[in-house]
Amino acid sequence: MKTVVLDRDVVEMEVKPHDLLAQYRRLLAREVEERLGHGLQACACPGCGSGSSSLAFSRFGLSYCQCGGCHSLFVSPRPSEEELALFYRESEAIRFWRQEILPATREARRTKLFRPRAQWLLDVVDEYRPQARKALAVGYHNDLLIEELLGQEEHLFEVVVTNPVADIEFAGRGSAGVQIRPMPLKEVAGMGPVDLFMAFDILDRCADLEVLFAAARSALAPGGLLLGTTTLGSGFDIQVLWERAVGVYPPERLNLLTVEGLTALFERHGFEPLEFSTPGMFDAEEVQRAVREQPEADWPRFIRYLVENRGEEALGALQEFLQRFRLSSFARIVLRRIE
Amino acid sequence: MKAIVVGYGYMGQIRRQVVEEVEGLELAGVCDQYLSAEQISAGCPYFRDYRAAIEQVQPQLVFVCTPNRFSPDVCIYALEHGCHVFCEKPPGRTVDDVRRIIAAEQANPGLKVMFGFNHRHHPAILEARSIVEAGRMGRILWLRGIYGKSGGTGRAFEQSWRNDPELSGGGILLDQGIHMLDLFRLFCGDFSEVRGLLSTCYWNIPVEDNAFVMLRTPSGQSAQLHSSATLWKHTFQLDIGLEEGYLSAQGLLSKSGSYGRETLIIGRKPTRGQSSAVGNPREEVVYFDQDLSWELQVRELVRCVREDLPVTDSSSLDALRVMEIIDEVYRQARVEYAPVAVAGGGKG
Repeated sequence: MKTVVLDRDVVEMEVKPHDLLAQYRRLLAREVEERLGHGLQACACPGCGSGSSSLAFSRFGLSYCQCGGCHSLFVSPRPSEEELALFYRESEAIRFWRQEILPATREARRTKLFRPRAQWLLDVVDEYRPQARKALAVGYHNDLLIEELLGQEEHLFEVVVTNPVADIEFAGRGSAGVQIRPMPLKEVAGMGPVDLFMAFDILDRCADLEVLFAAARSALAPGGLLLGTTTLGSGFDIQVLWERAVGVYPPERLNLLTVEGLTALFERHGFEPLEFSTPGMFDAEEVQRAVREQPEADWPRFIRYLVENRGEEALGALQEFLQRFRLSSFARIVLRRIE
Repeated sequence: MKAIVVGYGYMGQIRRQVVEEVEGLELAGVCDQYLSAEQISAGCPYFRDYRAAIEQVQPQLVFVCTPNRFSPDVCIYALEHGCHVFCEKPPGRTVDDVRRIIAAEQANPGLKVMFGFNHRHHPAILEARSIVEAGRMGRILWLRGIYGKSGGTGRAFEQSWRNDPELSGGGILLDQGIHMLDLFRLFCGDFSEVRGLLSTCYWNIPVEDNAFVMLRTPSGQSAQLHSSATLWKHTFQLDIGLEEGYLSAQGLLSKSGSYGRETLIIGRKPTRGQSSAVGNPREEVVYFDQDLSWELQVRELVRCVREDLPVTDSSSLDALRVMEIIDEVYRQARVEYAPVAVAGGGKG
C-alpha cells in the first residue's frame, strides 16, 4: 500500500469562498431542520459496525455520534437515501451551491483540484488496471473531473454517471462515451462488470455505506478498482475543532470515519488497499482561521501558541506532516476488489 | 519445484526465506563451504560441496549466492546438470564470466536463467516505470543515480571478500552500482557511450571505493551514476528527467531501513497559466510500505519455468549488457585514467 503527499499551491479561499459558503450554510441549516428532521433512522457505526456510541454534538438539528470502537463521527439517527436524493434535487441551498458557488470557483477547482485528480486517476489506471474499459461514477460533482479526463486522454473508458442528480450536474454538458443515468445505489449493483467504481464526494454523504460497498463489490469485476475521496473524522482540523468545525454539517457529512473505521469498512467488504492517502491541504489553515476568528474560545494551549507565534511556513510543514502520517481530514483511496 | 541455495551468506539467507515463501518452491538443501550444519540451523539437508548437493538432491532450481569468483562455475555446473538457475548479481567478475554462463544456457535451451536485479521490482521503481510507460510525461531526457553506503565502522569493510579483486573482480561499482546501471538500462535501453572515473579515496582497498559513470544512448539520452562506498549517509536516489516533468525514487525498503523510507516524488512541469509555479512545480510524494521485490522476481522465474516462457526480466542478456558497461569503465580506468589514490586516502 502507498501513501501520497501533495505539495500544491492552492489557497483555500480559491476553492471555498468563505462568504458564499457561510450563506450556503445558513440556507442549508434552515432547510435541513425543516425537511430532514423527520422519520430518521438510528444506525450503527458505518465504519466498524459497532453499536456502541455516544453523542458528540448536534448540527442543524441532527445528532453527531462518536463510535465507541473506531471513534468515527457519524450522524444518527439519519435520513434515508431516498429522502436525501429528493433533498439534493429540490433544496434551495443546493441550488444556491450550483448556481453561485460552483460558477464562482469553477476555474480554480478545475485547475487546482480536478486536473490533478484526473492525472492521478489516469496514473492509477495505468498502474493497476491498464485494460480498463468501463467505469461507474456514483459520486457527486463528476462533471469537471470527466471533462478533464476527456481533455487528457483521447480514448477514455466508457463512464456511466449514476448519482441521483447527475442529470442536473451534467445538464447541457454531455460528452461522447459518458452516460447519465441517475439511479439508487441498490440498482448500481447490477451495472457490472466494470473496471472502475468512482466514489468521489459520496462516502461522507452516503446514507448507507453498507449498500454502497456492496454495490461496488457486485458491480466491479474481480480485481477492479474502487477510487474514492472522503472527509475523515480522524483528520487534524476535525479533531481539533470538533463541534466548531464549520465543514462538519449534514447532509453532506453524515459519515466522518477515522482511518481505522474506513479500513474496517473496506476490509469487511472484500477490498484491499492499494493507496490510502490523506493529501488534504486545508487542515492547518482551517484551524488557524478558527483560532483567529474565536480568540476567546478554549483552544488547546499548543494550538493557540502555534497559530499566534508561528507563520505560514510552520503551518505548511505541519500540513505536510499531517499528509505523511495520514492525519489530514481529506482522504483518497484506491481499493482493489479481492477476487 | 525442489530448490537449493548455494552460498549461505547474507544473500543466501534472504534467498532461503524467499524459497520458503514463494508458492511452488520447496527448499531441498543449503550448501556452504565455510559453514557447519549447526551454524545454518538448517531444517533441511546441508552440503559443503555444491556438486554433491546437485547430484544428491537433483533440484529443479539452484539459487547461486556465492562470491563472484565462484558464481559462473556454479551456474554452469547447475545448467549442465539440468537445473534452472537464479544467480545473484554480480553475475561474475567479468564480461567473459557472463559469456560462459550464456554459452551453458544456450547449450541447454530448455533451462531458464535469471539474475538478481531485484531493484527493478522495488515499489518506487515499479511505479516510476508505470508512469514513464504511460507516456503522459513524455520521453526520458536524462537519468541521474546515486547509490552508496558507508562501508561501516572499523576495518571489516576492507577485509570483506567484496573488496578482494581475486574474489570480487571489482569494487563498489560492481558490487552495488551494478543495480543502478541495470535500472538505467531498464528505463533507457542500451547505451552506446560510456565514460567512467574510479577512485580509491578513503578505504585501504585494492579496488575502487567511488565510481562516476557517464552514459549516453544512441538517441541522446544521458545518464550519470555516482556509486560510492564513502556515503556516510546511505543513499539510493534515481532521478528521471522527462519532457513534461520528473520522477525521483529515493530510499529503499530494506532489511536495515538505513536507506530511508522508500518514496517516489512526482513533479509535473507547470502548464500555461501556472507561471507562479515555474521552477518550483507541484509535487506528489508517494510513500511505500512494502517491498515485494525478492518474491516478485522469483515468482516470475517460477512462472517462466512452469509455462516454458523465455526469461525477459533480469535475463542473461541484461547481465551481459550491464557487465559490458562495467568492464568498459574498468578498462578505461586501467588504460586511460588510472585510479586515483588521493593523499591521505586509505585511512579507514
